[in-house]
Amino acid sequence: MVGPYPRVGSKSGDSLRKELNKLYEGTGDKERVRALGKDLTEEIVREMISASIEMPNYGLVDVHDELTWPLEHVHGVEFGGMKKIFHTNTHYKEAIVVDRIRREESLLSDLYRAALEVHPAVKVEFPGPYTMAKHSVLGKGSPYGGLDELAEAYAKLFREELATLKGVPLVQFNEPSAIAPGTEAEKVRMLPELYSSMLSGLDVPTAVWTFYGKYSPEVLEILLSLPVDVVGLDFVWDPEVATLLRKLSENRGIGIGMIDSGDQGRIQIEDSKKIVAKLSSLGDCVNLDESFLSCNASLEHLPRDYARKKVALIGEVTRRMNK
Amino acid sequence: MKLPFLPTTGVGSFPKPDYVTGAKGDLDENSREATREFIKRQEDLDIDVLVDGEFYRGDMATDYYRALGLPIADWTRSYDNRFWKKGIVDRPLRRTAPIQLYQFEFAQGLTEKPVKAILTGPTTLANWGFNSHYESREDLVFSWAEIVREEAMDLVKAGAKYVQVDEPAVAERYWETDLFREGLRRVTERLGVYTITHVCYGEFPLVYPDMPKLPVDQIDIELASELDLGSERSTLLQMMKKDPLTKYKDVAVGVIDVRPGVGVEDIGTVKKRIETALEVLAPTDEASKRIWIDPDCGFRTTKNREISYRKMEVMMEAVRQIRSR
Repeated sequence: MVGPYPRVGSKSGDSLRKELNKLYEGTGDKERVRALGKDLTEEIVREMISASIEMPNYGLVDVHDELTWPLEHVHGVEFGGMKKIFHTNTHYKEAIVVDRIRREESLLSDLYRAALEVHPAVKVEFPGPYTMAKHSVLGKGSPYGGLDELAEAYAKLFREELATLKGVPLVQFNEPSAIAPGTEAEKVRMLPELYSSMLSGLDVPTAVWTFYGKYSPEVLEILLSLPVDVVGLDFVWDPEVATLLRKLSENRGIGIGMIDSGDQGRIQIEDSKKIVAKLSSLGDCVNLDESFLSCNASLEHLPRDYARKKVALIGEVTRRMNK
Repeated sequence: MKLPFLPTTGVGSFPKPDYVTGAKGDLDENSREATREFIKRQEDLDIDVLVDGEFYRGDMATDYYRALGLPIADWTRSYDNRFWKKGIVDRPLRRTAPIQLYQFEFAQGLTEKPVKAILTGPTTLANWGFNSHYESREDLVFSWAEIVREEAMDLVKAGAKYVQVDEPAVAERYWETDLFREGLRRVTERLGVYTITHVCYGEFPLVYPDMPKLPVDQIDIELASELDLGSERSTLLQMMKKDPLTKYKDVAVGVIDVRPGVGVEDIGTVKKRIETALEVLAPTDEASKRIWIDPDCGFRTTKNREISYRKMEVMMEAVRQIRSR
């Protein structure tokens, strides 16, 4: 799974939406919001597990958007205007860095702990430091010389956080900015060092997930050199990435983002047989035994009923592949 | 109609009063009443070109899908706890009846001042719904353009002097600006009236170089946050300063932040925004005549009607003070 799961479309989701509205209008109750969030998180994890998803996320039903939310727990950041998330009609609030940043509390939600109680394989998920920096601006008072320096500062925040996360099955960092249209290899050359400094010496399995773009040979090579256990690739945006993988002869396990999350406006549910055929054809360039099948991006681009069908599809394809 | 220096206008929507419920595009008696009141308030504020408040609207994209008889999917999220229902293009698009004609005629009939006819643009309609019918983006966008064009022509026949095509999706797929521009051209070409496109919530630096080529008389752009950042820190303002859009088009500058939870600006803040806009966009007196003033976007997202009215008052007072210099 990648990113937030649709929040509404079930009884507990609709209740959470209504209670949040009340909270914003000044009549809601924070504890009730927390309780409803926990109910919904548990429901989502169960939904994924029952569809045979082996490594679900916790649904992230408490985040405002998928790009800058960890910074709400950080000193030195204010939030500015609302901007589009890449090509979608979803939005994030631009982070304005106004002081040296400092982690003031855990970046990770209590809801993750609630999800772990439902199933031990639930992964942790954050927007990556590079992508967060790309969606920040340096305000008056910022001590950082540029966005690369800011990305390093964000990586330090995550390093502190990761040191507290012993025993989690996987920590995934989403880095859509690494392949966003127009991104050149030169811009992402900092990633290996950024991730090395963030992860060195830590005993936590990690993944970097990329989506919303296509891969140049150089960028793909950089991504595959990252010091993480899994690199997630977007096969919906870029089916040709398989050709590049063949040329690189890596034959490693990857995250195969092949189920369309609907971020480009397609709502159809794919034919599982066709997905199985596409996946099987990757056998010569990908170690399928060590790979994950996933949607390419967050399923919250779809209504919940369709998201549920996509989750079921992933489970069905995986079962067919395992046979 | 002769307009004053820094003509003022709205972008479109206004928070609905409690008695307007269940709006889905149709002009019922409650939305008529809300329109009457809103037109009167704008006249009292002496706004130059009025908007109808869009009280009949459910959603700027979904209403079009509904009007064309297309299916509507369940909720998806826009930001935090805000959701909307996207339509699904599952068949060839065909307009069998006007979508906003009667709404415009009603609003214009309430005032001597011009009321903008406001349409949703083809790219936004294509991007803000699902498509399971058209094979290509071109087919999808141009089919929507045909629908919007038919609507625009009916509005012009009905007396609209200002036609605004809202394209908040302009920067979403910035690598498709040629497609966006062609879609817009198919709507606005030879309409014979003053044409506007409103854009907001985007990474505008990505599309700014293409803006001079857009086939409209005016570009209406959200700028309040950027104007607060100032030209030293805003990439967009730096681009505007280097190559002012007023060289090519009239520009309506959004100087009021319409986001929910953002309080009413003081007059000094809004004056400063306007002054910064003039400094950046209008290096000459001639260029300053091409600048209009309005809020960043429709007030619908502000939600609170009183705050929205007060924001409009502040905008008008700031403009009056600058005009009187």
